[in-house]
Amino acid sequence: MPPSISPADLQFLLREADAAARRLRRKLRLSHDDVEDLRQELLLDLIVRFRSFDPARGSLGAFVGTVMRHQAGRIAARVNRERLLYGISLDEAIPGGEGICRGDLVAEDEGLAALHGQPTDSFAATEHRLDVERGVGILRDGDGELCAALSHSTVDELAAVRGARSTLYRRVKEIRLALTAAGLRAA
Amino acid sequence: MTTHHLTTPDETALCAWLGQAAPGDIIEYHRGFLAIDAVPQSARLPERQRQELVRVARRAIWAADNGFAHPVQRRHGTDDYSYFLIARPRPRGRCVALETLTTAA
Repeated sequence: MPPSISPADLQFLLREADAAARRLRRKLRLSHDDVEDLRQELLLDLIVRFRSFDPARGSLGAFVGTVMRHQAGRIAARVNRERLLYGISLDEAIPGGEGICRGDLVAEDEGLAALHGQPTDSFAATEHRLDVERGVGILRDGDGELCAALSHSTVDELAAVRGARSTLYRRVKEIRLALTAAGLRAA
Repeated sequence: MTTHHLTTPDETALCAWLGQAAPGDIIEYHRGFLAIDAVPQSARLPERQRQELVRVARRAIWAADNGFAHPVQRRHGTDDYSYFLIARPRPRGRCVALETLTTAA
């Protein structure tokens, strides 16, 4: 007959699960909000496996430690696997970072390619940035701002605000040609 | 050093050449008499081609003004010239920090 969980044992399991969840959260650099989920996963696995606990073979502390260590390893593997599969949101808040997002910690020369395990060339990235800044420098006044606005709006959306869609298209064509002459290819 | 020829006026092709040219590279962007060929009254080129020639000529002057190339012409005979651009080393020019643009937008 599987051993029943006494109130004292339950308190012990809760404390151990709580401590293990906090350790795991720190190790995986998850947010504080994830502690409860981790704790629940660890505890659930522990309760399911508790029926196989045999006091004759070892202490409860050793059993709990082993079970939680294995479950924590499985959770960590799953989290890392999901990160590799789905990438990491650059808007994800860094725990304890006082409002800093993950994107703030990614160096310019690493970019998204680094997050997806692709090769990066920091020299090429920096040179490309300098080329772009030099290319913007040859544009007419105001065209740089138009480029920045077009990075998050379409010509139609801008035309609704600024008017004269045909003028905007002419300016865009002019910008493209000037940047092409500066050696910048369209993305 | 290589010499490139635009068989027909093409502003995009000229800009692409400017973007890829090494210092000393040459492009002949027009053969004829530009001042005459570019005016509608001359009717020496089809209208669409003439308009593109005007754009190419303006772009050539723009390239010279911005330090991308030297404009040069060679006389072959009466009303017959070759118009060249000779690529210059990439001008340093003015740089605009991208942060200032994104902040302004």
